[in-house]
Amino acid sequence: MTVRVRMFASAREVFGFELRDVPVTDPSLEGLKTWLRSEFPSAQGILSSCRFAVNMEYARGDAELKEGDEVAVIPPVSGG
Amino acid sequence: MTELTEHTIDVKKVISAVTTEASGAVDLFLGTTRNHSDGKAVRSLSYEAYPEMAEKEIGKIVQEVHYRWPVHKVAVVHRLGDVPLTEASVVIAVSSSHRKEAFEACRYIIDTLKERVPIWKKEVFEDGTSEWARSTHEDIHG
Repeated sequence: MTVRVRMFASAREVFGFELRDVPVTDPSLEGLKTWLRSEFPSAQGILSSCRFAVNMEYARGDAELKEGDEVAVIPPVSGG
Repeated sequence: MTELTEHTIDVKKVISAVTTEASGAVDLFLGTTRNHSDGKAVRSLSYEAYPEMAEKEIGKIVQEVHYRWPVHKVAVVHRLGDVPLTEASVVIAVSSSHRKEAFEACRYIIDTLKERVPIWKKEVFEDGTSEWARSTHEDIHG
């Protein structure tokens, strides 16, 4: 199963990509986070301060993912 | 009216978007770039957004405002890219019959935008360094 992962701001800089299709075996947000932590060990620190959105809605930790979902990694916002 | 723009915000256009003949009040807020942040001298700010979600989230906030206060119209315009000193990064306007609800709604919008909308600012300092802003208590609660 593949989900589209979008990175923004400091997360984009730390992970080094804006957009990437990611294969997930565990179809959950937790599964995706685990994959991100293992693929990008130096980026682990930032994940704990980020929120996540699935298909443009803020998601909870126990969110389930479906094929083609868009998951955004959202560092602390600072608009306005 | 909800808009993200790379250009200088036309404040008059934002005011016109909300003014109605039934309105006795139009409350206007401008978030402007100031020259200091946490004791460091700032040269400019640069804004980035998750645009589709930012518009959606601002739209939700506007709906919440209409639900909670008897306002007439609401306009929110946020600028992206570089915003020099004294220029506005965000302009919010609310119209209503009386000023009480316009003041309250306008304040709610900026406070909530700062907590929820996926937009980020990068502070470019006079010393040449730059850093993604971390929101402070003042940012969120004024």
